[in-house]
Amino acid sequence: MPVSRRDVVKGLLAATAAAPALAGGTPATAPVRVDDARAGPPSKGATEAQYRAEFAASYGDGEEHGYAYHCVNCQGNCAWEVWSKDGVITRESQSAQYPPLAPDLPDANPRGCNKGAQHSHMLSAKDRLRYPMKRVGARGAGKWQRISWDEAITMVAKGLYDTLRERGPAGNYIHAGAGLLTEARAASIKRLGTLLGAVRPYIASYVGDMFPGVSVVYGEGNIGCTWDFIYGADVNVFWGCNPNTSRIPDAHYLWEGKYRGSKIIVIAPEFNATAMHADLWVPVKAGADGHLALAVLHRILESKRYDAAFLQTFTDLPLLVRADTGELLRLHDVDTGDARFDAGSVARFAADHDKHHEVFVAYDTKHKKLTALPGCEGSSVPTLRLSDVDWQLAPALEGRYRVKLKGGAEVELEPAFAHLKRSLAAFSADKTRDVTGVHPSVVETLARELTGSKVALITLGFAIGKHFNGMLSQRAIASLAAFVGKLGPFGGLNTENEWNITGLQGLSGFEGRYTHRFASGAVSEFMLGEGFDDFAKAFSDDDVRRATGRSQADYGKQVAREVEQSKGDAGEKRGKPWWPECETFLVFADARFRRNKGSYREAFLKKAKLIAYGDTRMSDFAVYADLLLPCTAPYECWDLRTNPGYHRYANLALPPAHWQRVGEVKSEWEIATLVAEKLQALAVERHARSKDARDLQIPDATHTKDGVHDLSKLADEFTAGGTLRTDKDAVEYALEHVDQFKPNHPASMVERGGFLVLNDKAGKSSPLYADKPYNSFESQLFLHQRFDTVSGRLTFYVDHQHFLAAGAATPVATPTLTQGRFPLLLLTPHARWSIHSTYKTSTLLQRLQRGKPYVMINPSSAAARGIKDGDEVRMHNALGDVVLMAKLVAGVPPDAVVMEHGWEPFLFPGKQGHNALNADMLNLLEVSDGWGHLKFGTNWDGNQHAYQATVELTPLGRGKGGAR
Amino acid sequence: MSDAPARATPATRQLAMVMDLNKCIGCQTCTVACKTQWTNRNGREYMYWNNVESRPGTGYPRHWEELGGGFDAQGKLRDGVVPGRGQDYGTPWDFNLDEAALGKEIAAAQATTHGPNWDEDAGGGEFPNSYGFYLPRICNHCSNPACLAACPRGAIFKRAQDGVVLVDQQRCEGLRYCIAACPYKKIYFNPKIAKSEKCIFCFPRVEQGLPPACAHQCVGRIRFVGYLDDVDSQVHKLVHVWKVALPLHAEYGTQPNVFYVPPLPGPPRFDKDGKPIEGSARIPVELLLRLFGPEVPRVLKTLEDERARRRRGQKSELLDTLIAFSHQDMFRIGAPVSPGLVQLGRRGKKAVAEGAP
Repeated sequence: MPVSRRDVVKGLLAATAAAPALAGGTPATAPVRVDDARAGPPSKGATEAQYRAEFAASYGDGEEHGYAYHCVNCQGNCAWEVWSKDGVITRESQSAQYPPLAPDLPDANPRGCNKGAQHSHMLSAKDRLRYPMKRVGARGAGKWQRISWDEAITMVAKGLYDTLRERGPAGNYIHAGAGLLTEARAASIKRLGTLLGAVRPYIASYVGDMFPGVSVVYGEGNIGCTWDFIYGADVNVFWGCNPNTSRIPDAHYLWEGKYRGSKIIVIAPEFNATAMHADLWVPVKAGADGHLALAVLHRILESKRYDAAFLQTFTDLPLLVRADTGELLRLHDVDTGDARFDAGSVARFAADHDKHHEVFVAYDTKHKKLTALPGCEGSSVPTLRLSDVDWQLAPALEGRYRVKLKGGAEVELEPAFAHLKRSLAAFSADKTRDVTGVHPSVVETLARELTGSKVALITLGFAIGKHFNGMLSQRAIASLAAFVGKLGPFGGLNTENEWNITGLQGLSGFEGRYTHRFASGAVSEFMLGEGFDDFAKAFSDDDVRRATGRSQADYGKQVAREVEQSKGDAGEKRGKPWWPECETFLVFADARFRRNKGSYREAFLKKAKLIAYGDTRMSDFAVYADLLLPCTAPYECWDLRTNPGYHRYANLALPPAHWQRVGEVKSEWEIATLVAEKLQALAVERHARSKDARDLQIPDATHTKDGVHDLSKLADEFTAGGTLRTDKDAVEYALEHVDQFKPNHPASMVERGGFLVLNDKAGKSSPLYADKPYNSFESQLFLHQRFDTVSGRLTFYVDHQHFLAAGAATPVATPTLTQGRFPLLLLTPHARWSIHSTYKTSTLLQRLQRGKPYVMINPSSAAARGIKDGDEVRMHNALGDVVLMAKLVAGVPPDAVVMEHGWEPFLFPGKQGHNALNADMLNLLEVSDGWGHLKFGTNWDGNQHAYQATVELTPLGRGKGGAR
Repeated sequence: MSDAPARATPATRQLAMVMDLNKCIGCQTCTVACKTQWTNRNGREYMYWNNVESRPGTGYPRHWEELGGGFDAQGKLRDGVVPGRGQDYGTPWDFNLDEAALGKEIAAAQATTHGPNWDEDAGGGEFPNSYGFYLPRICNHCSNPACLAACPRGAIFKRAQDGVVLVDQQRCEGLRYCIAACPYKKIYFNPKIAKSEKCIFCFPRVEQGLPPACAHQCVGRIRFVGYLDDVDSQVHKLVHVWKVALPLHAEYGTQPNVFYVPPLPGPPRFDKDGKPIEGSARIPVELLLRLFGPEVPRVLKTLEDERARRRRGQKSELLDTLIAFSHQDMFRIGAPVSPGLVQLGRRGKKAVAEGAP
């Protein structure tokens, strides 16, 4: 029954305890006056004044505001203004001052996200590391003693020194982890590591966030556009990614682009937050992305919707393949006197091919002869141009040819295109339908959209590389993007653009006097964690056969053989993903125990003699350290951040005026400087006693110019004569030396709003225009510059022996490797609420989730197991079990469960995290090396995979809810 | 005293907000921005003056649409219920983070059984025909506020200059009739000071020329702020000219001043063979009708028609407005009206001069 205000007042006058209007609600607790409740003067002014004062207190003095970006293991990199009053940080707000590029392009403001918006809460959170501490009980037992910085630095220096003397430089592992991906701050740790010849593993590889399959095709993994380019693309395919949750600052370009006229297509196994707004969602089965990409490629090829001239010019598809070996025909194998070969092409394109063997051959339909090609790695003419004043070429895509080899043998030849065509026949939409779960009409739609639009862009997410077959899937998708002939302004493939930043060498390096020991991320972590043991436990023979066609024992043995060859300093020379055995670990911002799989932690702890760990907070890894070094967080330090190139800005970190650091935290630059000074003092002191030159001169034949690390001048070298000691020094150095930053200094960045705009030198393969979004490969498309591949062309054919043996010379797709005994595949994509593990322990953010780890399950799968939303469940498989909360989500496929990744093990009951259920295996193709552009480095390393675990869920009932 | 509930003195101007649900990505940056600006302290910890709920879902506070309040067809206040603290709003959990160093498990001190974003992404429909969207909510700063009508202390007022609805913190005695009466459940009881509090449309910021924190910090760029009578403002155009922005639950009778561009129906559904059904609506239109009323089909058609125009290369002023080329221009809140606390261009100067060690 409706109740009028008058009834309410009557009720009050009757002084009843529970007012009728509050039926079922809380009764009023305050005293109720029986006279006219509305009497008395209003005090609007006082109320307004109260809120105004609150705002004023939060804003403080604008002149004292600082600037920052957050969580430097996020790729977002957004300029924030740090509000403070009287030296106390109150909150943060996006700077939102990025200038517009063009009137018809949405600007980049206000870049930021939910996590950055609460960073001020992390500064004094209860898990903040405030003082140096050393372990006084067993590792992980939580017994600590507060010590002085001098004591802490002495422990670090002594540990490093002992290892230098006893095991040599490669016994030390000095590493700034994914929590410190920045130009200025991370350079401190890199610099110290390089100076001492210590091992540094590759982050993108061990977190599983690299694009090796893209490197196969394009010669580099980090390609693509600034995200404002997405706004202008006619078709945008988001493949294996979910920008609405994991690219929050840039996601607006999708939906503004959709209004502009862009078609948004999302390909992902789960109906995710991006799919909900899309024009088309393609629910591909997890791990079948490669099959789907090849089905689309097959469809395009079959219906001849490709540009043959593009393929002739920009791809390796005209390259001739030998029928006898399946290898590409190389010029140095050809008898150039054969009349069927254009001998003139040697002088024209490959004058010095004896020195540079990688020159490839095609059949020229114009002159009806085989010809050497320009543009290859060994060609003397570095262009992809098919016609010029001196030549006219029309390389054949079809046909069968013959040529005489040196030594007289005849060999039959076919262009790579013919091989591609044949191998694609197995991946038609009909044949792959069961594997992909995608209807053939959708395959046709994708083929039509990608080929029928002027600007079509495929944005490739990190989820693809998380599968064991991810490299091949990435390659298949990259091949599709390459085949449709989109480069530069026409789109193509977008992974993660990277700017060309030059001039920082002096910050993290020593102009070649020392080189760092750069180890494979995936391989070194796999070996540190005794991955082969978990592989044997987790995967059955059937599992391995399904994925590789080979027995578990056979596959394991070959991978072990490959990896053994690349062990230690000698292995590095053999051109394999290199890995070392270390004993002393000085690690910063790397919560590695949450990330690594299976029984990694136990294996790691056995090998580590000393674990010195620097971070801002007590991560699960910090719990097991021997020594804790409390570090400054954003808002407390100076820093600069540019890459990756989602946008064209370098952001500044600058503490607010009068800000006092929490506890005794120090910046990484200060810590590294102290370590260098202490190490030198220890060495000099010992040498003074022993007179043994080896106490001062650490031999290192492979990673120094002079053959030694001279510890007597360590501090001077580290600080570059005293000029590089602090984070502020590093920022000033970068602003002075980086060509792409000029002309700038901290004050000009502050004036602008905490950032600078990269100048035109920042583009790698395209110019960075002042008024247009950036996308890769204009230089190739318009200037016919070669790609950074062995053939100089987009690569469809790889004749590495491992690829040939695996039947993967052309793009193929294979089933992925999973532990096949349990019904639900565990997917752990990037998170909305954390960047990896950073911010996972934010109280404020946990309150907006479920306050504990949870797993998302399809309601029908849950019902079949008697699981209700909010129930505590046991998630288990052959490797173990973990306890967490079930959350029913309609968009999760019935044959999988989804968890945001990044949960620290100590957030689970029994401190057993979900990665305990997981085991990885190195992919033989990813550890292949020594072929053309597939040589270990930042573009070619394997990913640590994450989507192998299959699990079962059992309800434990409701009500436990996670309280301690 | 008549039987009619008290009405606010009509404001001379009305600030309004339009939220475009097609651009909302559910990131909750707005929620967090509001929290650090207003509700991370002083008894407000459990409150979310701004929240974003996943639809379908039970919302925040839980089942708020079933808790009554607002006005009936005759303009009389409807019964309302004050939500329960733990079970409906959710308890702001605390964690033993300090015990991480002791090697302990980290967990909430309270059972985590409900929270303000409990239903995040839960969605509806049967896979693969699942659906969902996000619905951000603040106080609607209604032209006919039920809270104001219900307050026996006359403690709720509407500012003449901008229509912002405030709870007079001197007069409020924490009786909570307003909470029961607000059909959107956007007034909260502050247990520390025993008074009601709510979203204040960040009027102290607006007075300084800064948009409300939720809007200014909205990364999806979904929120337009301006005066409804400003014919050049986006809110005016979207609400009154193109009529694509609709109030939430207009039938509650409070005349909200927050408006929503309803979500397009999402990608096509699949038939049993996995083939997309051309023209199918993934989000059931009934769900949208229930939230935004009978105008929804017309609005969605307008948006689709304009998209088609845009794809044909024609101009669409409506879509250009929704695209919002300039973040700064999304807010037409006028020049600062009180002495400048916030001075753009001066920021950080002392910091750069003094800086860190």
